[in-house]
Amino acid sequence: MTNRLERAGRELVDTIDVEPTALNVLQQRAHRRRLLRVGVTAVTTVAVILGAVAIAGAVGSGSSKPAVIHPVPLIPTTTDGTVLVPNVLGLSDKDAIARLEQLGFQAKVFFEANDVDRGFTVVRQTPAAGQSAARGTVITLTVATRVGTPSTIITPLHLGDADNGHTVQARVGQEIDINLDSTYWQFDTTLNRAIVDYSSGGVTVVTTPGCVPGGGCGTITGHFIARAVGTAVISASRTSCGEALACAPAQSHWSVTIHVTAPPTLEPPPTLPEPTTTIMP
Amino acid sequence: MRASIEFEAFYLREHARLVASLTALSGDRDAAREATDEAFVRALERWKRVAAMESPAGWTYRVALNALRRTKRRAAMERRVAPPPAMGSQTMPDAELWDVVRALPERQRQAVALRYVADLTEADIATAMRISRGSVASTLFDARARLAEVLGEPELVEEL
Repeated sequence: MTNRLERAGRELVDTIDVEPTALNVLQQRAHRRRLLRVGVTAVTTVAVILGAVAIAGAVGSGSSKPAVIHPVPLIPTTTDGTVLVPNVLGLSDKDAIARLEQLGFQAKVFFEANDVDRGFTVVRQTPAAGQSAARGTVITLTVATRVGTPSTIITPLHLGDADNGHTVQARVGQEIDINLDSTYWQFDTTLNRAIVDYSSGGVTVVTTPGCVPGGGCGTITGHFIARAVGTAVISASRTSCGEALACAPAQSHWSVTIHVTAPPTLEPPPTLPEPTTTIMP
Repeated sequence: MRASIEFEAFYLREHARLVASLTALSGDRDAAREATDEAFVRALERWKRVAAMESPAGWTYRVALNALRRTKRRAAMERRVAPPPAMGSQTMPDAELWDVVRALPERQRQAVALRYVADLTEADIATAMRISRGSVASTLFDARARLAEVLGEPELVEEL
């Protein structure tokens, strides 16, 4: 009986077709309850980023003093030095890749149209969570999109101060990271979020210690994602260009126009063509 | 942040096995998953204390077993109103065995699931079920004997 029970038990674990609950979902639930316990009732958004990023809140004294974000690598290792593959199901593609890279894995991403409205979240991963794998192992992710054509990974588009006034092409599903010097920038709310929206990365502000007057005290990074075909303008404004230093009009506004086109039509995997982005000044 | 690493490793190791164990017990994957998630959320809320326990897995399984019992009680009440969905062990490997396991007395049923599906040690099972290690061994013995009898494999009782 022992043998049959052991075999049946193992088979049951192997065949139990339950998508593991994403760790961050559990963390959010635990975090919400902790907040409720200490009497904070107005819990709306809880940002627990997979235990991977510690947010040291630098609470402002007056104006908008930004928080400093320190990424801390957390690596669950096994005794033989391999790493346990994390569960990234349900995460955004960006968060999933960040998590995997943090643990020393590489990520390969396939996008697939999915009727279920789980846009831009990981719906499958190979190897599965909980298996141990050597560092450098390629983890294949399938990310659901809400658009028709399957495509492969599209690298993020990186834009900065120098792109002010440009028109840029992006593809549906492509991440757009905008990095502006000076923490006084604020992204405008006029963005057409049906076309280009904030991705789960949101806006991060990083201060650098020992800032030089006129030289900036850090950077602000907006993480966006192209959602649908169309055109959107991402713009940012600032009124101060340093401590008590008003901006000249030319320095107070920044914008780029994003033309979003359909994702590339590709042959199915395994060949991964290089993504292309065209910048038209 | 050490605690987060430990919790993640623990979660990766135990989550699927706990779902499988509770599925074996209840025949209901959704309920199993709900109870499992609840147990992990509770473990995470007080992870420092749980991690310091002799058997973090045993504690988490105990919470999950309690959560499953509550879920089933609620489901039983709802069933009086609406019939249950057609769901069960047909899709499980060796369904015959699990059907018989589910017919065992509760204590034996739990011990079997924790030992053979969750692959817990007797010490962890003792913590999970709040019984002594000696009771775990005798409960498992009784369960195997009963299963062998029902399934017509009496010769295997001798293996003990």
